Amino acid sequence: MIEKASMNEIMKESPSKEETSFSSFVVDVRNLAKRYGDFAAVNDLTLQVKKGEIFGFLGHNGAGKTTTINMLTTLLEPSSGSGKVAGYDIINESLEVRRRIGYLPENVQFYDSMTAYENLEYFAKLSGIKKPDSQIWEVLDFLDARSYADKKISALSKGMRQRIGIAQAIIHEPEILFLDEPTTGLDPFGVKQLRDIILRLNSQKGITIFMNTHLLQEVTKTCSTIGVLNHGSLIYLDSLSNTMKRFKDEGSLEDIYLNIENNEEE
Amino acid sequence: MNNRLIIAKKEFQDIFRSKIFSTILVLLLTLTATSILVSTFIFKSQVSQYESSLALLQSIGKMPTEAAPQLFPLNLLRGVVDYIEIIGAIIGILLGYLSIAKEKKTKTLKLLLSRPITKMDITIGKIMGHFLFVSIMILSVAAIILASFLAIGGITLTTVEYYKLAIFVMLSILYIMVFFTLSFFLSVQQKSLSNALTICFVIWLVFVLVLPQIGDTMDPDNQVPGGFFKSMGFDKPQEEAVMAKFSNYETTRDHIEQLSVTKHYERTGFALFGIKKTYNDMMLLEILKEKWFDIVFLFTLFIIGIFSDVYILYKDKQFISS
Ligand SMILES: Nc1ncnc2c1ncn2[C@@H]1O[C@H](COP(=O)(O)OP(=O)(O)OP(=O)(O)O)[C@@H](O)[C@H]1O
Ligand SMILES: [Mg+2]
Repeated sequence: MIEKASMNEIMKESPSKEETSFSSFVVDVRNLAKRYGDFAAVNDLTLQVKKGEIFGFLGHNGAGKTTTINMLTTLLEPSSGSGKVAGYDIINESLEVRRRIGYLPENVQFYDSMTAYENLEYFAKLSGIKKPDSQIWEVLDFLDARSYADKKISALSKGMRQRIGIAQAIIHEPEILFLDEPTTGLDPFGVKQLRDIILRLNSQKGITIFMNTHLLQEVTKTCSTIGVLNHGSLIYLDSLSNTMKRFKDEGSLEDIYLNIENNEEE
Repeated sequence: MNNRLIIAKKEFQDIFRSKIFSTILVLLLTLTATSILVSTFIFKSQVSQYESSLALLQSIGKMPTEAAPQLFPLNLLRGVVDYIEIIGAIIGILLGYLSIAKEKKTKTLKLLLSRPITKMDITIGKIMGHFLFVSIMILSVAAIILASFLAIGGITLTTVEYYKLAIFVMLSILYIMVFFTLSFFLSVQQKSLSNALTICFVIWLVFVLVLPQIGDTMDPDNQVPGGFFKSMGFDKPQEEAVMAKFSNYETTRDHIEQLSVTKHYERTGFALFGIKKTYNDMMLLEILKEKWFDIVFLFTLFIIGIFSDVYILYKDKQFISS
């Protein structure tokens, strides 16, 4: 119970102290909510993510992470609240938002009668790139995936497919990349490679990353900021370094994360 | 517009690469050719029968009472209309279902919708791509028809007959696309895809098989091979006099048939090809005048289908959150 109380306090003070430089936020949402009947999948979410960050959005199964990403990527209309992504309103300027974001949903499978190259070409064209050939090769090289180009999607392993997934999401050079549980189904080596890719996208291409996960280790190894969602509500938000400092003496971070969940359940 | 073309092109390629559709296409073409060959064979045997009875009559010094059987090549196409009625509807249903089911299953719709395109682009693009595929399919059927005519004895068509065939091609495309838009609609709307497919096939059963069948069974003229009235030795005015007494019954039968898209398609097809003999002597414009309602009906259903598909995808939320 003690931990939970302290978490709530931290949450209250975190967002407000950064409100000074408004334009540097790539994600800026206020009181966002999604309700299905009486059930609130996401509840009163207020959240800012600064340009250049790797934001880890942590929460257990059913916490509302995917629902949040769906709203931020304009796929799902919020029940209430408002928000901007890449400087544009997610409700009224959805096409402008979509021009500036990349999105890799969980477990996406592509068109398996087409080759990796053809899939990328299709999505690149729909992103408004008239002659995408050079971009496709550039992105494939960046991801070290040139050799997959002529393979049918159905012939690619899960890890290879995940790279093509990243490729379609960055082909149009988005400002922010949304990843929904990107490591699901990857082996430890695949996870490590994906982590490196995410870090390189951030450092070399300057892309802000918004990443959903239910694995704490993933966040601590990759992210610069952490948010924790629990039953649709944001219960914690701070930078990784602050978090590490704050919870230094209280055993492993993991214990605390698990504790939040347990307290809520009871 | 550009986005719609990109989507249309991809949809079109996708179908062409799938094995099911090349198989169905080959099946449809084979059936077309076979049905024409069979009809020709039947016609030829009628001719030789006529000729032998003619020879018999002349040998005993009498004049023939019946005119020689006349060949209107389009008369041979009854089977083709029947096949497109049944198989075309199935193809439409499968195409509509797959174009949604695949995107749902692989979640590629999320990738599409995270692009700067509208849901309307997606729906219209898909309809355009499938329209193109269906057109090519029906045009190949028309090509097979012409080729079969040439092969079985150098039959060439008159200009009017070409027009009739062209109108038939357009109607067939419309007919199949009506089923496409219907099945697209249901597949978006239904939570479970297998439900959607089941409903589609129930609709197929009712509209393509049951309703037209009820209409046919209720038609007294169909109860006796060769036609009830003909076998009773009634001529046309007598037949009409008898039928006038049953006018209520006839109207009901007509209404039941009218409920089915298939019947509208069939009536126009049979009229164009002179399957009902009376139409052989009519001018094309007269035929169209008489069948305008059936044609407008098909066209209207297709337009309604397009609007409904655009609307249902626009409104749909299930698609994305699941
Ligand atoms: N269309 C819907 N209708 C009703 N409830 C829904 C719908 N979509 C999602 N939910 C509910 O909203 C809640 C949040 O779902 P969401 O997928 O956002 O969770 P998540 O944090 O992504 O979980 P996971 O880790 O399992 O992916 C869940 O309880 C889910 O059952
Ligand atoms: Mg999820």
